[in-house]
Amino acid sequence: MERSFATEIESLKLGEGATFRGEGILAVTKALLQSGVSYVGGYQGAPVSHLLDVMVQARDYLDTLGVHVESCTNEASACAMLAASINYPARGAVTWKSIVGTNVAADALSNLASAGVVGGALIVVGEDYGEGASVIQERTHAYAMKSSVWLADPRPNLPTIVRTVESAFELSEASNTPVIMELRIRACHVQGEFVARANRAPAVSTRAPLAEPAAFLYDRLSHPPVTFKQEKLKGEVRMPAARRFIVERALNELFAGTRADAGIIVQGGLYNNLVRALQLAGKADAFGASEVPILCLNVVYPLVPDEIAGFCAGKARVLVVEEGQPEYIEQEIATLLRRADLDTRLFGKDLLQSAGEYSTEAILSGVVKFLDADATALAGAQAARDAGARLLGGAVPPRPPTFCVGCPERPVFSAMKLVQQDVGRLHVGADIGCHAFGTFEPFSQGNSILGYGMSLASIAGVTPFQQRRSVAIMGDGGFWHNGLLSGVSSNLFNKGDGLLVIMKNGYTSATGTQELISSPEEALKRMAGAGSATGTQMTIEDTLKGAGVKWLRTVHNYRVGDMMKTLKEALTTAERGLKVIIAEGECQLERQRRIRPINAARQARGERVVRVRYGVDESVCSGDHSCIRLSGCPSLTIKDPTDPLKVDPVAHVNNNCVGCGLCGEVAHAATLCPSFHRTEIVFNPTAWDRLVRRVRAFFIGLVAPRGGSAKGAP
Amino acid sequence: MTGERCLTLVIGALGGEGGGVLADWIVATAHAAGLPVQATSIPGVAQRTGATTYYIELFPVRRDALGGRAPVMCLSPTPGQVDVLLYSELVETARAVQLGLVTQRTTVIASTHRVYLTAEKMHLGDGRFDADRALAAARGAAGRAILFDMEAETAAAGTVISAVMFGALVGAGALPLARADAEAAIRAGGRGTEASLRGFAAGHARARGETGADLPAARAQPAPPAVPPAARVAAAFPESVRDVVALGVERCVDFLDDAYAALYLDRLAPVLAADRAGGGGPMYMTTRETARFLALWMCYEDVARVADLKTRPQRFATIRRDAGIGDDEPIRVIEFFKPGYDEIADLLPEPLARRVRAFARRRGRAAIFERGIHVQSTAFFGYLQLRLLAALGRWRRRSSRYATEQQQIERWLAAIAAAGTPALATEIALTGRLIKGYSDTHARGKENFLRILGTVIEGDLVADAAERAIAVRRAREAALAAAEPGPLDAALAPYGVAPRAPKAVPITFHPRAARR
Repeated sequence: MERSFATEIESLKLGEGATFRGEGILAVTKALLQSGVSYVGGYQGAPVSHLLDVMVQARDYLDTLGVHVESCTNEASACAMLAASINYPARGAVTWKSIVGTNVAADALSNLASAGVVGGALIVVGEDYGEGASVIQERTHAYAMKSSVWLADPRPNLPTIVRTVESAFELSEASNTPVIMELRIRACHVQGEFVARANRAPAVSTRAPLAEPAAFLYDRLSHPPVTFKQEKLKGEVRMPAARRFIVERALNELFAGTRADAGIIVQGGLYNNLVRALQLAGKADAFGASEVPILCLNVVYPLVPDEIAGFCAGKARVLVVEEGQPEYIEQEIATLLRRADLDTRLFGKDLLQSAGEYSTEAILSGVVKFLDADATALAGAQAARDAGARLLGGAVPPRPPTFCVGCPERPVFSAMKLVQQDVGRLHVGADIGCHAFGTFEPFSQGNSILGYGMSLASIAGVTPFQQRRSVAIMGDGGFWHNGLLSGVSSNLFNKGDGLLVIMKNGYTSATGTQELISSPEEALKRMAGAGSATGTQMTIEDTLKGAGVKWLRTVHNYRVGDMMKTLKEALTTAERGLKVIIAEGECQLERQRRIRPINAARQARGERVVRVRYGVDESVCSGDHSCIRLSGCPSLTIKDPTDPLKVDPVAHVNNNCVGCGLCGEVAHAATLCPSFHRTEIVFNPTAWDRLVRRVRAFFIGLVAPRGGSAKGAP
Repeated sequence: MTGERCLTLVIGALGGEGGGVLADWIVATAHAAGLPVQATSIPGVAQRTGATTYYIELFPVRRDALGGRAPVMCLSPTPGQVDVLLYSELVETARAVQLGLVTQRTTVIASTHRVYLTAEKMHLGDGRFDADRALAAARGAAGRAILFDMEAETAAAGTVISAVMFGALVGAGALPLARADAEAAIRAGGRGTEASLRGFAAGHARARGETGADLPAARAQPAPPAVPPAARVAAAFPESVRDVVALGVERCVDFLDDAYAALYLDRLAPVLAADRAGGGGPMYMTTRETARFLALWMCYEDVARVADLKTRPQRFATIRRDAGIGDDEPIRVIEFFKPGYDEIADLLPEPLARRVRAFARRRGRAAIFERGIHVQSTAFFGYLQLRLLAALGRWRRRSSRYATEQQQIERWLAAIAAAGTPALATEIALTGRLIKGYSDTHARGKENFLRILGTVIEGDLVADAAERAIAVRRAREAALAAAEPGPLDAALAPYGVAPRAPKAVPITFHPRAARR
């Protein structure tokens, strides 16, 4: 795993009254333990990866409490885990990134919601919406409504988040319904503090196992005929119970104002931005004391009709601040107002933007219109952008993320780019994972992205009408998440064609190098040393063979020439059926994390260590940058030429180089240019190294041109 | 009802620069002062080398003086409402200006060094964002700007850039953060503490103007040629072009011999004469750019030249410097060569060369060794091989490539001489920039060059000289914009030049598998 949570684990152990300081998502983790959770599961993905990562690393401690932790292989298996709370009074929590994760979990979620729960069930979703989001822009809200599960959206500060987690379990139990808590990206990463309570060992746990399984009770199956009864329960029993609980516990917060004629209803997660917008409009102070009363919905589904009506009654105008589209909350409030026969005028999406994050500025523009307030700050924001544009005189080019220095996936795209020069352009089904960076420059490859592990399935309809074979790119993370079932088995069953390239780097790297079923075991890592530890881990190959893949090749990623040859063969062979190339090369982040400390320690002990780096001969480089167009490695950069005759910047390898060798390989495979060289530096040389050096320097000196000492050469 | 407000700080960093640690330090420093503080970020996939921002708000009144009230803090910056902008890279700073995060209220503390974007790096010429424009924008938009090369300070202190940024932030004094608290925060963080403190001190001193000039590192100026201009250069060429011509002479002697340098000067003479006649202006742009690209073209990089450059003793000193090592460690340098039949043919006289090329075509292969060869230039035999290859350069005049290059050079020079106007002559001279690279890259550049030469330069597609100069410039820029033929085709299309026929690609048919 990419990050160590050793210090964070200590803060998970904090007792009653101690101050917890840290990240929002870790506060959630602590709150789960304070709530006496029996089991935790989930699937990694920003911004909620840390919740699960810290739990996985804290297994020893959690074991003392009897809490079971599972790293699920996808969100569906995580959601299905909550089935434990259908029959048992055990609290469970799972987490994933939404909307994508909720989509994958949807089947299990519907069934769970229908059956209902007796133990508190909480789903913590990272609402990946707005700036910095890496997925399609949709809202989790729709799932809450259609499955009749409750959705919490707490104010983004740690005490509120923690309180919401704790009451979510109670709400779940009081209404026999799972609860989703959504946290936006920045709320997950917000640093703050709260006063901790003691962790509660769960009543049902690995330390306190049950003597007998639950009795057979047909009512707990989501299967007809009880599904009809369950549907009724949702509306007639569970929702009223939830509403009662929300009111009794005052989960939604009313912030009184000085004005009686207007009010604002806001999703909890947007409360801070709203207050700042009001402050900028001269309608509130820094502490949230506002002229306009605010109803802050920490639970956005279900709404409590009496609460809404009570807030709106007597007010001439109410603004609903609800991010994203469509405006579910606003529509429901409109219905409630009609039913309650209130003539409060309702504002919302007519004053606020439909799409995109509700930043302070976005809310301010609505607030200014709603309150006819001071627009100076709003004009200032636009003026700042206008001034910036004027000063810059042109747009600043984007900086998309890219493959790390030495990433083993980059060479595959180099090879793909080169092969297409020979065989022509290909239809490429892209996927989710680090390899999606192949869609950015300099590779710009990929015709569609249909979800995690969906690339092969997404070309099933394309391949039949292409003259050339289509290619699907998939990571090992995607393969186990969904690709094996949705892609490989479907292709084999339908006797499809096409090429699947699986990036076997050993981890789900994009989310923080979490482990997979096919991650190299400790012993393999020890054996691999400085090499790639994924070469000998054969779970994926064995699985594919077992499923019936006949054409299967494993190629080491950095051998660009071999990769090109194999790709070409796969694309042109007359053999029918699915072709799979396993592009093997361990995640460079993990590899470096393993070998750096080893090498540093050896060097410090005075042992011989060889460091490899690549370089460009500036005098030979002509500044055409074709190497960069085939690599894009961050350490392969450009610099001003020292040769005053040259006008264009020359290629340059900076000292971040980890010596993966791609630049040399590409120079070879593409017959690019001879300016690349590999340098092996011997630290703590042995007597033999020194002798060899002296002998070489002597002989080289005999044939070297004049103008310098030959001693520096070897 | 506004009163006191939160102070806002936006941090911009690239993945792996320690932005998260920096945010933690700042939070700890504010805690030490008893100030309410909140930090947040969007790391996500940005940690994979993309740009990422951290946002911090702190309230300038001690918590114990607030009577139990807590300020409501935001999680993202608002344009026009930023007090301090702390950025680790110049173009990212420009991006912040573009987003409206920098106003007269803002103190900008930013590094002037560049980490180039892929789009800037992959350009065939120079696709770099104008650094001066970025600097001017940051200075122009900010109320106060502290701009210096943080990377250089980082390297000097042997630390991570976040430490220098932290020092500069505290040193700037724009936020109520005390140096002692800040240093305590670094110490409490553990790991690399001493280096971090050195970096912190360096940044602190720079921000307070105690060290260095508050100026970005100037772009390196070309070094003067090693030898003073020969008498002939000094006598015949005006001051403003003498440096380039002298370098050209030096390069030609190095490439072949004195006679070759004389040829170089002979070729330049008519260009200079035309330039003078046309009132070339004080800079003699046409002569200067012709002198530059003529030298580079005449000293084209064939196998012998590359082998020669790779065996110069000073090269190994450069390799050591780039790797950041001294003279103590032995090194092994391995060269990557993939000699093709073309490169061999290049060195042979034309009749032989033709046979080699025909043989290669029959074999359907360009490279002699499919896997390429590795030569260890730090071992005696590897070095000797390269020296022997370099020695072949002496017979260059008889080689097939020499003949081709000279003939094309003459054609280009003739076009410059025939241009008629200084503007057009300069544009034609600048087309020489397309001649670069090796093998396929070189062939494509040459093809583009000849295409422009054969259409808008030599032909009469564009009658008006001024119009023609524009056409030549547009075509050149298009050829440098992308490796694919699209942009050049588009640039030439208005002049009635048909797009290049697409390269033939073999089609492979894959009959559908039989249905079950």
